[in-house]
Amino acid sequence: MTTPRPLRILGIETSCDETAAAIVDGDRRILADRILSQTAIHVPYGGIVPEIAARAHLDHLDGLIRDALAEADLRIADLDAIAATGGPGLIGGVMVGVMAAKGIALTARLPFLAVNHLEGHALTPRLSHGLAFPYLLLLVSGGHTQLLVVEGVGRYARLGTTIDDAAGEAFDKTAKLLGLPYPGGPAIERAARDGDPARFALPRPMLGRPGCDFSFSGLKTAVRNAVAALPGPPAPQDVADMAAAFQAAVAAVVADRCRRAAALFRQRHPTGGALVVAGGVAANGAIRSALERIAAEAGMPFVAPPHRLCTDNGAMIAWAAIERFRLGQQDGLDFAPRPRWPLDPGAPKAIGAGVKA
Amino acid sequence: MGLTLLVIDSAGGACSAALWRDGAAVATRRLVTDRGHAQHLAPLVATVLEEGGRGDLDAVVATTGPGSFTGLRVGLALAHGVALASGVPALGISSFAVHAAAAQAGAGQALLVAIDSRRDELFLQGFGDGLAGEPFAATPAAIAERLRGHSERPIAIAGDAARQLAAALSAAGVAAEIRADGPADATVAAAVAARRLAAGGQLPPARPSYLRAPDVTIPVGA
Repeated sequence: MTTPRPLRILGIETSCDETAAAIVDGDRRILADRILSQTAIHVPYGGIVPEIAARAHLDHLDGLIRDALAEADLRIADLDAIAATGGPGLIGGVMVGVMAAKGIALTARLPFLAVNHLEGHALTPRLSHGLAFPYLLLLVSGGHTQLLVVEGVGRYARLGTTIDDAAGEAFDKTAKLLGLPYPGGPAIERAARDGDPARFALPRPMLGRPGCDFSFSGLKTAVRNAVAALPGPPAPQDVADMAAAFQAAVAAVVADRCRRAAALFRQRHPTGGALVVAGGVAANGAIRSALERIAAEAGMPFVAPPHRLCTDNGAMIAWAAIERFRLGQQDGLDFAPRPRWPLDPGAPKAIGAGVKA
Repeated sequence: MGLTLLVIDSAGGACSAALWRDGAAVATRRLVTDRGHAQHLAPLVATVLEEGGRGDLDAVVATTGPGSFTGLRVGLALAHGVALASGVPALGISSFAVHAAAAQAGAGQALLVAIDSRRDELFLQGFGDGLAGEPFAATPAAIAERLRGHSERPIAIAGDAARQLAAALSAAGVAAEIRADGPADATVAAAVAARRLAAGGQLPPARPSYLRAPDVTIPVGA
């Protein structure tokens, strides 16, 4: 008699501009992890074009899944379930991943799970670090900026969210204003290295305000006005100084909001916990140092999953599916992809927030 | 001949699936709907496989459009998943060919298939006498103008934009008769695909034929 092997699930991610497929097992091993970034094809447009993204997902997804199976040396029949991001995100892309997953599942008679993309990010520290519940999560990416208390699988309390742009979106838009390339995050961080953050006085939106919500669009406007006030087109030093000022402003705002969130977390959970950061913006060094300080102040460990697991990937979808599948959950073949899908539907709507929040 | 095909269409205003075996459809499902293809298609396909038996597939075939960009991708992505899990190829069949087959026009009769593009222009392809050619896009008025004085014999019309095209032709005094209209049907697609494969022909891989670039422009100064 053989010992029962751990669960194995294929996870598919197509909700933004990364096409990804991964196979993860219940012992937290990533057996295959394939990611194809579409960044290059969106560069000429200065941002993601949904129809172009959806076309690219369809062009590449089946090949990526085959590659993942080959990397893990597994067949579909060796898997226990098939999972795909079911939302939120760019719906044309989400549909491609969901339909491919449904096609595999219905043919192989395997369970299908539609995973909330945000839940994928939220549970990643349990895949990377085996972290116990509860913990405080800052999710900062091109599409999302949220502070969540993660109390269990499917149990999330949103403490704050952005009322306008996501942090990553603010980086992209600011980079564009400064004539820096897309994606803006790495470009601004690079430019900021040679910059003086004190030369331009930029606002710190929401700083000191009650609650844990974010706002970044005013910051972007301030950058635009400061660029317009220059005597000519921004010189390299102007760009560096502006990038440094912008990055410092974002880091200060993120730190302020996280400090408040950590205090709220402590009210709910007097002991234990951790401050976790996920999402592509977590790669930014200035923001990361600010978060490390906040975590130390609050007496919580700071946990940052490896960069590859922080940005969009299939492993986090497979892992979230493993967590849900263990609790007996799965979804029907009639699951309808969801462009909007809040993790905490009971959270009060952020004041002034648009439909994306 | 013994071919077993799973055939899927969701390129237009319907979702449908057919299991084709030994020259006939043995299980079919169809739902006429303009929305929710991503929700409705997979259960139809699962039912067809349950009823018709899922073993021994030779290929999965999906319509490649043109049609609704999203609808096309829903069917093609599902076909890719089925192909992955069953180890058979995912093949494509042109939506024009499926609508043309539904028209059952006489051999050589001029036939024009019109597919809704959700814009002013229609997606069009001609077949038969004097019209055979590659797919293209044109407004109903432009194509009616081009066909003025084409022939005495009425042109057969098919496709989910058949009525729109027929109205434009009629207004321009071009004789036309609608032979089929409405969304495509996987059962018809299955018959077309099986006929081609049985005759030793090949079908292309299941990749989309959008016939229109994404609506986007490169920003000035980028």
